[in-house]
Amino acid sequence: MSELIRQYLVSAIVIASAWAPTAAGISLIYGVLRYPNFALGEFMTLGGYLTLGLSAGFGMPLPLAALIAVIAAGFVSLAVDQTAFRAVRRAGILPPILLSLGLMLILQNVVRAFWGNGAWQLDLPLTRPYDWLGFVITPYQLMCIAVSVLAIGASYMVLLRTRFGKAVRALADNPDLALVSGIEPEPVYAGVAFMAGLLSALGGVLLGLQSVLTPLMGWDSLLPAFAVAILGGLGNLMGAGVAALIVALAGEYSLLFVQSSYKSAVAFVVLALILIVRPAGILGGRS
Amino acid sequence: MSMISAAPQTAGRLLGEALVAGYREMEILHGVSIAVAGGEFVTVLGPNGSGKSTLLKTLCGLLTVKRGAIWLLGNDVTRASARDRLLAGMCYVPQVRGVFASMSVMENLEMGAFAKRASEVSDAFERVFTYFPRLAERRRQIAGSMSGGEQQMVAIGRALIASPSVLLLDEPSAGLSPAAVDDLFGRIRNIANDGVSIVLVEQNAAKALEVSDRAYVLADGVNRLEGPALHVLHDPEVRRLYLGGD
Repeated sequence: MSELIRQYLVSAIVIASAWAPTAAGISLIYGVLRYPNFALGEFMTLGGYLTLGLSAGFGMPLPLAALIAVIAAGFVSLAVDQTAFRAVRRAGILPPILLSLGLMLILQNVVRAFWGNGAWQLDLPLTRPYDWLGFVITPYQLMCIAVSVLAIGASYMVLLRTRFGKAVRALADNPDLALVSGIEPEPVYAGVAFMAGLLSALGGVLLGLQSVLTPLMGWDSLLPAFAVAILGGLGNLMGAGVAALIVALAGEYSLLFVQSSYKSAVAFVVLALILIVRPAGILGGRS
Repeated sequence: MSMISAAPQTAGRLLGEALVAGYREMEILHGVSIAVAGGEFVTVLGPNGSGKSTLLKTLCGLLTVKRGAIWLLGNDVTRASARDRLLAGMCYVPQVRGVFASMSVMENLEMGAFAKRASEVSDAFERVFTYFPRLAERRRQIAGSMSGGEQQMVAIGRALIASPSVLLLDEPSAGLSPAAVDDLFGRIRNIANDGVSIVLVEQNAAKALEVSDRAYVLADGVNRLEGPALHVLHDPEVRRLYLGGD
């Protein structure tokens, strides 16, 4: 039993490392552009499969393939934002939601068209897991956690310190005042879309390192990632990191009491319970 | 109706000529004109819905001009973006939500200078701190956690950082105590004395007129009255309509 408790903790942290960047992307888009982007789950899938294509197809080393893949996904997100989403910028919340749902279906089926419905595995050399005091963790899992923490931390610092980051926060805080302060919104929106696409794709690469790639991997992660983004406080990147851990822990430890098929439902029970107490998320929205 | 139908385009730092503007479905200004000279303190009065706030939003570029023209320092800015008007020397302080509530005082001021090069605004911070010494003490405080009066200082400071020649203020006294209003209006008067033209929209008519040079009265989206502040203050109709007495 105590071994299970240890192992669930490891699993929870590892899966949280994949959800957190995607949730940060969702959170960022919602915080600035004010719509839930349901296509970001598919950017996970895109990130995973582009990494597969570049490493297996072109023989690139995996880290390089992953880097190019997430940057490419960022540019796909930027391109879609500056065309389709930009066209409906002033049309309220519904058009961008519908656009994101359409984009979700397109991306999912583009991946199917190229790679089929089967599962793929990234080509990882075999490694021996570490065993620390009964906590068993593979080097790849450790790497996922480190990369995830670095990505969230770096994004947070970009928002906190850079000129771009300050413009992002100003637009999220008070769009009209940002406008009369001389901030041009479109380049900022483009940058936010790029960051969100990149972060989500990174979440997909990390998920791919942990298990297998399937065309539904993004779809399966979409609801937990949204739960995490909402729980963390929409617009709050650090909150997304903390919330990812909470949702993942709740899901894993629920296995002690219920069947694994209820795991994802547990995440939502936790979400509902916490939101009753703290409606703006655990760390509050928009920071 | 308009009393300044033929203002020459070269006089005055800011000129709004027969402005027609409003929101998508609703026209609010039906031809309002305003002229402001260098360093002049002008107050715009009028009942709710008369178009005072709409006039400021139209001047600063948040709303588009349907007909009429806006001249700033002799340049036609009628079609210019809010950013270009800021760069041309006109800054706006909105009535509500005039600060970035989640950002620090210093960050709020930095945002005011966003469109300018750092070298252009290096003195501006010190100038804002001389008008509002309180802000220098509170540089790191998050604006949303400050009192209403302090937030108003941040809001005006943010606009002053870009060193405007015209400052548009929409009801800065809203929600402030009478003492805080006196204090704030005194500081705005100082800003005008230093050569910045002020256009102040106010409900607090009597106090605003006491510190202003000139005033406009709007009603139903057109000019109703215009003149030296003290004349307007003692105008029987204005007293009856806006100052609640005779």
